Amino acid sequence: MSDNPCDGGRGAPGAPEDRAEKLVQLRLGKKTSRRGALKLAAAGAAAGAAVATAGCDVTLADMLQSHYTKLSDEDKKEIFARLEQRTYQQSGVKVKIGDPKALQGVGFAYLLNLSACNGNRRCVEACARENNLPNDPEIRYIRVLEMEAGTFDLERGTAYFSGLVPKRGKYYMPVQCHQCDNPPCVRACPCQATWKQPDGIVVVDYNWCIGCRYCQVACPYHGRRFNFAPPAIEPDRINPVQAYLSNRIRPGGVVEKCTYCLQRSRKGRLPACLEACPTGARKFGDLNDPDSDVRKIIETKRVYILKEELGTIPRFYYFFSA
Amino acid sequence: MTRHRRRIGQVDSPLMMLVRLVMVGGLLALGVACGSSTKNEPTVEHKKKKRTIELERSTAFQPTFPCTQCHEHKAGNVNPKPRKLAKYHAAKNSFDHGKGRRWCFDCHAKDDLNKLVLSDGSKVGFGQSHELCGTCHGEKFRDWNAGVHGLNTGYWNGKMLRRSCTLCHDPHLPAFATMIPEDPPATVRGTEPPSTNHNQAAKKSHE
Repeated sequence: MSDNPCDGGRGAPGAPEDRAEKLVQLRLGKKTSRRGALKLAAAGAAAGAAVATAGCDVTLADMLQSHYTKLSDEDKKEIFARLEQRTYQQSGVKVKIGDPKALQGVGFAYLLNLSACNGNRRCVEACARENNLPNDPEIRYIRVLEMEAGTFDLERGTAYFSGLVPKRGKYYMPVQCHQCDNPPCVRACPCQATWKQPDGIVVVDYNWCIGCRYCQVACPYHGRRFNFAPPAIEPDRINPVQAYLSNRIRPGGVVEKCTYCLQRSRKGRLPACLEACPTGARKFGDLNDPDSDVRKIIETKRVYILKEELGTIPRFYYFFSA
Repeated sequence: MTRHRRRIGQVDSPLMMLVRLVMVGGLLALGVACGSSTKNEPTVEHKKKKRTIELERSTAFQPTFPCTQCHEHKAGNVNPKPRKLAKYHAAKNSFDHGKGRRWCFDCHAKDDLNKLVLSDGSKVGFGQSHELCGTCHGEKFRDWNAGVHGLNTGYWNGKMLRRSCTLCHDPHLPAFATMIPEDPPATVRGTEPPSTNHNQAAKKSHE
């Protein structure tokens, strides 16, 4: 039998039990008899214990875990402990996985000053550090587009610029997840692994995601990224302050995205990309609070919404203030 | 056959209005109930803290402050006549502010070189540079005060730190210098980055 997981569905269609057995074998990376596989599954289900296998990214306990919204506090405690343990085993870094809840009555908004942004990409790097984004394969939540002055034609922009910035006749437009109030990605998901939380942040349950990438296709902002491989992050780059729905280390084969650093923003802190911006182009706050600076900007400045005509109602706005 | 047609603008009888109101209300309530069923996730109470904005302490001038450690002999004995700078600061070509209309003692106090001077003659410290810059750049000062201009860090619902003008801008060369950006994103394995100019690429493919 091949060890290639891609072979999982191919070959002669066997009985459902055979396929289940095959799947368990593939996932656990070792051969078992059918009886053994079923026993393992039963044991895992009964005890809820992690069946950790050396060199394997996904355990049976991961596979039998329920959707985030259905987890009790004890379940969460157990799951978080398991994930913390795994990170410790794999990289020797002690991390703490939390689960900050949405704040009541708060609706987040992000504003970006297109007159100030000079395309230095410090936000991209800070985001990678904060959210444990791997370098291989490289995943970055923010894409800075170098746009031609005088037009919003995205076809004439590029993310692959280098050399000294800003360049004459160009302006720079960073794009990341817009946390839409009418999110196309959420409707595209066939298994409800992504949804919108009450404060406006769209989150992904990485353990519930099946990696079909429909959401990636549905997103008009290129806001979502796919883990083609389990992320390889150098131990000194791992941020130990983690949250289950945002920056914890993801398994391979799932979709992830910007969460406005919910592990920071739900504790009152400003997102990492904002604090890293040397030009002060980024603003973040509570849109429901009439005294917040984001509200002042929306009320007094020229505001631009990317692809407004699609009706996605983003919580990410661009504005102009030289 | 005669049918009673309602004319445009005709007002409903009070009874009909009540019936309509109840129907619309019912539908709305149903809509809210359905909508909220997707948002029944637990939230935590947001204890709204008092937002405070504080100035970040500047360390930019620490190596050279106080200015009088070099310029002491000049204290109270400066030549106030505007002239071309020949030594020190000019050697580094480090002054370009106001297109030649500005001169040292428009901002620095003649009689106290460790202070800045406002147009009304009152003096402020180097940490309060916004007071001075704001006298000319009023629009920016207004935006900065409102938290719109400049980099603020810390907490969005608590203590926010903001920077005075000279922490980001060099007052002698106020325009932001060009920067070297971080690396461009990686391309999918085995592919080249797309052409930087879409139009040129399209033109080429037509030829």
